[in-house]
Amino acid sequence: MTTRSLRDVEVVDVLRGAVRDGSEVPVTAPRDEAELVDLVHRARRDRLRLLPIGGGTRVAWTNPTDRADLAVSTRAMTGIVYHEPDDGTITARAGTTMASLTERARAGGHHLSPDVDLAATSTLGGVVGAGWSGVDRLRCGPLRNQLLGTRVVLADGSASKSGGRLVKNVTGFDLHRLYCGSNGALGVVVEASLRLAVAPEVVRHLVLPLDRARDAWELASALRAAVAAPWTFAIDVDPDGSAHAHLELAGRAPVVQAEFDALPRAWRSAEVAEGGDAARAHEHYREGEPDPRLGAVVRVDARPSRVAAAFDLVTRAFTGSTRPRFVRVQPHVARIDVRLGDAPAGDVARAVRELRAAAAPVRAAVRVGGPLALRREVDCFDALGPERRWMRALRDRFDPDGVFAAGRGPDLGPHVGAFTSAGGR
Amino acid sequence: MDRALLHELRAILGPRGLIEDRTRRVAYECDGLAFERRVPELVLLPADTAQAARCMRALHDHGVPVVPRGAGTGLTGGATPVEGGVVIGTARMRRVLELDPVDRIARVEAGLVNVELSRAAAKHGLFYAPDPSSQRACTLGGNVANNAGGPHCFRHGNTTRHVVGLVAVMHDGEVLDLSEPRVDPLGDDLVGLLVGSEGMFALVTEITVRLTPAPQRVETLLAVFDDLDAACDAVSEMIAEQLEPSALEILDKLTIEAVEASVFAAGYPPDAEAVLLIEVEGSDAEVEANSAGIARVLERRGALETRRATGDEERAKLWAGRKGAYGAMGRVAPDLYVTDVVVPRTKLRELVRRTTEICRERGLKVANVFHAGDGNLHPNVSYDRRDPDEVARVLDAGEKIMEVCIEAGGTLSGEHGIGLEKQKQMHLYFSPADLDAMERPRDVFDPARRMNPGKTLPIRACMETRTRPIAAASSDPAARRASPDAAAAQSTSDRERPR
Repeated sequence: MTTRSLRDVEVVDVLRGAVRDGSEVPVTAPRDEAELVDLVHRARRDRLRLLPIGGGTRVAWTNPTDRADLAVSTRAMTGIVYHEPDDGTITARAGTTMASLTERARAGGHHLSPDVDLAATSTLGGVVGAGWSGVDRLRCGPLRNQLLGTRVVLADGSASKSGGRLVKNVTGFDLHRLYCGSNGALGVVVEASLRLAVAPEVVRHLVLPLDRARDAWELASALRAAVAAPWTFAIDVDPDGSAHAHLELAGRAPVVQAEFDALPRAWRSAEVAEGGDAARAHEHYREGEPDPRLGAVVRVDARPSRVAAAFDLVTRAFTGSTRPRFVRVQPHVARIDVRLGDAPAGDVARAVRELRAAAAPVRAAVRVGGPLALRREVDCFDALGPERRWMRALRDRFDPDGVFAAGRGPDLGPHVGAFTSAGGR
Repeated sequence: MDRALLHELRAILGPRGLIEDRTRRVAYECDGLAFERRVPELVLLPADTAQAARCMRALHDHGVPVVPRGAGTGLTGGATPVEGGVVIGTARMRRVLELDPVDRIARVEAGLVNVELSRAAAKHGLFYAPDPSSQRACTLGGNVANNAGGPHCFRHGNTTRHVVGLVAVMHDGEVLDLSEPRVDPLGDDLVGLLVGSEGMFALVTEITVRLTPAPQRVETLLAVFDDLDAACDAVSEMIAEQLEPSALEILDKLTIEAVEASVFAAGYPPDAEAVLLIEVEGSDAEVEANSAGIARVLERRGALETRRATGDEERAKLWAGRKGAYGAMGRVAPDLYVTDVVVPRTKLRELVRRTTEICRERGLKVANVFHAGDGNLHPNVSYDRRDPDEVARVLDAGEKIMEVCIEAGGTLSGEHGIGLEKQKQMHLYFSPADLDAMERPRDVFDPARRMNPGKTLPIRACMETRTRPIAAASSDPAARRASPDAAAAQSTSDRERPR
């Protein structure tokens, strides 16, 4: 940091893999909103570019930015602001870890959704900024369904709220929906409120070996007809083609028992874990979510009816040097995660481009995460359509001076330096 | 209206799609907020997205303000016409464009009536969850504009949780197609931003929604109380105990009397102080488990009687009473002011009591029928719009209700939106910085402030939040043209006042 105005900023860490040229970015962690606001004002005055992060756990899912002078982590802004168990809501500062929020919710008799991987280091603000849903989304829905409101610091240094703490609220525009998943490009989330879910009384975790991954589609179809809302359901496919189906049933004891009894015949040979064993199995399953910091990952989302077709495309796209190390298919969520480990970046990038071309007719979306070398070779996100100019205009309106490092999300075209309406003709 | 524009619109829409005759335009002078009226200059009824886009482009080129309108069942003046503006209605856009039972989605035109979608989905064992009381009339487009709710949103959530795609015509006529449902949004969540934007960002013409599997079993219970407080406490306790009914609705004595005296008579006991209408859905085991827990709470809270609907007919009758409650209130007085506020569910009893007191202190007759499970109160004030003094007291009570609810940690609206009705109160809930942030997407989507101008966001001038802009005091038409928001706000003062 060469700028005098930031010389007194306390650097607590360095961030790697976030900038295209490979340079390390110093990380600072303001302790409260006032410190963050001050930092934003100084960055704006001195034309410095800030890179907002939470715990940094999802950075490898985003495109590298061209320039970042300082990463601003909200990890030091911690604490529960409001928790009312009898109203089923919780509000916390952005740096509160998902693990501690989960503990607090559990103490009040609730389940915290999203139930994310890397919960010990993932922060609430980071999860909201990344728009990250949990492994419980099949039952609880995506993060955006739980997000009741946010408080953000915008690029002009103002702090504003959207939504609130109540389970039902249509007052004002839902800007929190816009901030959710914007990767900090519109503002820095400093506080968020979530709706809490009913804690399941009983969890039963089933693992069923499958001879072939292809058996999964029939299994998935039969399961969808038999059980209204499993907690989780996924097919994990190993490199040798063998597969395991994971299923979690959760809820009140008689309901879980009834769902278990209603399972299709194929599940009778499943290994069943309950109680503490089910909790450990769940932890293991959750930590099986792909982590692009450990190697290349490709995520394919499609409509449920097209998941099988998308899986065929994935199988054809990744062969030879890009042969998958592990594949997780969530047929009902309609998502396929492909772990490619340390496959050569150039080969992965080429395969991804081919997959994107092949996947376009089934309207599947392909997202990439992994080491910087890969993210320099291929866009982490699909190309957008005409909506991109509206998104560009929103960015330019919220951050006309480019205070926040741009380019981490989908390609929106160049920052024009000042706001112009997308609709101007 | 500019002759060239009129000529262009006639060519686009044909005689069925354009209402020029004043006697027919009068039908569009207000929505459910009868205080505010203005006959629109023209009413446009495009037949599809393409026609809507051509109209929007022509209106853009002539700088004409646009008020989108569904069925006009909104209760906050969101569809009230503005001076010099046209209304674009979706009444001719009512098709189900796609219904995919495997992916459990439907793509529909914005003018489709809410209940028609559930009817279309029923043959596939699916339904559309948001069910406003007006669901036999209100449209999906209107639901999107207001992020509408309904009794079953307690379990299933408001409209925004069910909308997975949209087609929107932007202010300049561009068609933005976001109709493909995505697991996660590609880029910024424009769909999420557009839902609940009260027609101020774009004209939504098509909607992709998530459909929900019909439950294996539905059970409807009616708990009878001799005390409204006890009914409220029963609901708070059910929430605290994490019971999971799909709907929890309270009707108080005045509502019960009105319903029972109407065509919606549901068999509610007329001597009860309150009834709690509860629905439980799911598998047999789920219904049994929830019902048992609910029965325990009802007993603890002193329910005099709990009836279980014995079949679909009785169930439908109980719900017809609830959903017809607003109509039934017509027997009490000629007009009804339906307020919509949300409070923490731990404070139901005290705030229902307080809102009732506020009305009674002003000599007003108030009935309560509300989504208790969500803390979404609807104190319904009966009045006669021909009595200016009574109207003033109604408005005063409405403002006071909003104030006390916000002081208690509540919010201005749970499902009706802000529109004109609550615009002035937005500063009670939001700071100037919050409101500034909300102007930013508006700068992008509607730089000339032609999209439903003068609604939702308070108009601020000279560091003051106000509903009447300084420009409104000016008689200079140029000054008014310079700010459609200001012109719209001025037009509020010009509108027909209660007779």
